[in-house]
Amino acid sequence: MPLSLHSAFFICNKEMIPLRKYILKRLLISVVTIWLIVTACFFLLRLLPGNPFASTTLMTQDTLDRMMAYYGLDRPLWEQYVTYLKNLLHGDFGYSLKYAGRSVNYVIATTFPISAQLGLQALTFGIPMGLLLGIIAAKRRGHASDRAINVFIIVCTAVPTFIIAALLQYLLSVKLGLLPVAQWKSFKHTILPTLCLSLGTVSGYARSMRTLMLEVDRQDYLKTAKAKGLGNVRIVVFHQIRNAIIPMITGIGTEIAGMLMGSYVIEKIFSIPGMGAYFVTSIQGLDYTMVMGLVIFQAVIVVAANFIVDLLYGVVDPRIRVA
Amino acid sequence: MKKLTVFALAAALAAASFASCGTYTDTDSSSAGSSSEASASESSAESGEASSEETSGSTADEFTIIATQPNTLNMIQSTSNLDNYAFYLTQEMLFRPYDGVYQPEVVDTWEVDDTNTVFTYHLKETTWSDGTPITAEDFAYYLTAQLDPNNGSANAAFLIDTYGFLNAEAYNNGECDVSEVGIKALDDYTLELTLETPNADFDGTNIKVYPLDADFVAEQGEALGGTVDNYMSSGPYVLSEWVYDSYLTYTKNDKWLNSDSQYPVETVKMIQATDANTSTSMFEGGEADAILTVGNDYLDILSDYLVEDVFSGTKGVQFNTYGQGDEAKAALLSNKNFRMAMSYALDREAIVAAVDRSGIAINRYNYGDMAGKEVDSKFADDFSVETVPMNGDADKAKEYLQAALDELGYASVDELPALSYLTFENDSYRLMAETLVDQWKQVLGLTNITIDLKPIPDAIQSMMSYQYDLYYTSLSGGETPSTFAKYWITGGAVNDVTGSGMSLFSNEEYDSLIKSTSTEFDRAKRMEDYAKAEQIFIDEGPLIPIETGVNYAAVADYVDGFVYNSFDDAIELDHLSVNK
Repeated sequence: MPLSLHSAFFICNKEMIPLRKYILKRLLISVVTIWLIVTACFFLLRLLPGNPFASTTLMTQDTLDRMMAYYGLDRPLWEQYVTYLKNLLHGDFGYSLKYAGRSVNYVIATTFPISAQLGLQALTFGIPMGLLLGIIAAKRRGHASDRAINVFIIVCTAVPTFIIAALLQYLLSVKLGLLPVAQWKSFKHTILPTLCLSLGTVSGYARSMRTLMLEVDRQDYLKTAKAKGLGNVRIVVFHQIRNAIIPMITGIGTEIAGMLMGSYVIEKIFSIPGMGAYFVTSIQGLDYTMVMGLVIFQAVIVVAANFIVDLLYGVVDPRIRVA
Repeated sequence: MKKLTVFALAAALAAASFASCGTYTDTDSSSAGSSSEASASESSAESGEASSEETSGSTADEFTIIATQPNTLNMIQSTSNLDNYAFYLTQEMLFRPYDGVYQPEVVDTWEVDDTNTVFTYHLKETTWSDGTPITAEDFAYYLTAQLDPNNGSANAAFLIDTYGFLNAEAYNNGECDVSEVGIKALDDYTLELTLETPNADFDGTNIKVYPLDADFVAEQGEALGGTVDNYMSSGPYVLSEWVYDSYLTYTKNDKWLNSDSQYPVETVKMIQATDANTSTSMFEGGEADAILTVGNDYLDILSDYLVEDVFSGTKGVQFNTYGQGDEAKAALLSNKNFRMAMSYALDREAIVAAVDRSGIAINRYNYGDMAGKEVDSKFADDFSVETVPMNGDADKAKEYLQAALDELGYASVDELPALSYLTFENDSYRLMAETLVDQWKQVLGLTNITIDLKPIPDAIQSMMSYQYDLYYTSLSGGETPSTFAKYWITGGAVNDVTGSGMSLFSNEEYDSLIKSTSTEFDRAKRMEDYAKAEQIFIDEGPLIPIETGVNYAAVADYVDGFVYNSFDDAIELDHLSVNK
């Protein structure tokens, strides 16, 4: 019987104290990690040449000085750092330097759910589809379906997403009128971007799953299972897939975190008001507060995702449990 | 099992991709319902020809345009023309520019005193969209808030340089109180603007002034203008929705002064422009009635729908006459013959055609629709100048170069000091740089110029600290020649960008001509002075003009009355109608 997260904790019940210690230790490490990221990011950003107000619009030195003073950027760096940390402890990421009146908290609060929805939809479709294709390719190695899947994987990997997206927009939206070209209003509006965003995931997981399945296929325990007379479905599902999937879990945490944070290309092509664009434009424009807010937010998501994945290891493989 | 798996795969793909796909019509948008190809045919099939004829010719209630969203609606900090699109649609104005003319809106009557320095405006009674009265103090505050040194507004310099309000500079420098500034509300409906000296280019109407409520600004703090809730509307439309990076919705404001006679469209929806291909597809698919800026690669596809807007700005190469402290470089870059050689070597038309489809080659500084001797005449038609031919002149360029080499004591171009060409690190600027440097090499044999590509903030900082020899600049123009001309007086905003006394160019006659224009109220004579100054600037050549920008909007053929940027920064929908 497959184990759930709940049962994994239940099994650890006798050693709940070590598990609690482990969680506390991980939490502490997470806080330190995030503080290091905040500090490094804060000072590295200030090392970049230029300032947030330099743009193609010409500005006199006096005007520039006044703007720097208004935003407190004329103060000593350590003072700015301390102020930033104090605000951060209150959960205040501050206001964008490029978009006056736009608070970083508000930007994250309004754009993250959209990017997260898009990312989750893409993962929900992409991971199972990728695994399924990988399994089929492995089980049908050398057959037409294996070759077709390999061609699909190569196309998805080699052709840039924006080209596939443009082709799908033209075919499905402009010519056939089946789906909206862009925007983010209803479920229909999410289908094309989800499909385009998931292609990378599908091809990546299909390729990895195929390789891992073929590797597992040569393992002794599989021969044992066959010798025991287990059914083909049981061998594939409970022995082959389960063992093949373990190495893939390592990357899932980062993959989920990355997908949740949005995709610049997909969001730009489909006019999706997600976070992706802010990552790029805020760095290009040296929007210090926006960059900091987004980096910290992403750091929290990545750290949390990795933490959850570490716990999930125990669910999939009892040998890796903490206790 | 194999068959089952294959079936499951096929079913999952089909279900996930197309299960919910029918023919797409966007019920949220009035435009899409009747103009999407598929839905239009479906509609006519169902209701027959008669109904489709009934539909065409009716006025739609919504106008959907693809444009870039504002950076901010904070009217004190705003510096972008994108913001001005929103202000123009959502705020009252003393005078509203429409189709090239400033028309009184809130101003009922106004008078100018004998000294041409005091302008008194008598205002009509009007309100914010919530019904609260707007007073003269609100209009005064809009101006003084930008001058307030505590607000760090980047617009202060523009207000000081362009209009010269009494004590504006002193107030901005923290040297006097706001009560001493020549911007005053005499009572609830009388506004008085006082200039330090007469300014012939300001006739009392050509100024954009919106109302701004000081209490609201104080209440909002840093959040001002960040969202719909942090913004007050008073104009033709109320900003009712703003989803960042997605769309803005403007809903007709029935409380606006002229709501009965102007702005007939009930709702204007501005969809955020992201990708040029997507914008074009949305326009072709009927999801939008217009695109504000058509991508260069799509001009041919949308050629039947284009509306052209020529900018008043100038892009070109400026010379750092200080040579980054190197005497040999400073002498070379200050040499008039060398600068002329660089200018004559360029075939501007070929360069712009090859590099920038949304550009127009220029060989002077006052061009296009800029008014001349009369308000309705063109400066370029009224005043011709002697300047470099659009296609350049290779022989003359070589003559100028030889003259420069002789003057500076060089035997050949191989002895010239190395020069760096500073520009932005993006495709269009890089391509322009490579093309110019190549032409200088082909025509003049110059191999001493290297391209220095930097990210925009870095490049600007380098320019402002004079760390370049040649710099590809982009200078915004204005409604009159004065904006550009004043940039280049000794100590001017571009000429001496840091205000440190390091002017790139200095000519007494030029300075004197520009100074005299302020008090020359005879328009024809004033324009003549600008033309003389322009000729001096061309002859001296501290900036080689290359191109100006053109924006192409695409507007569906069922839309009438779309006026774009008659003066910069406005989509003028005053008499727009959507006749589907």
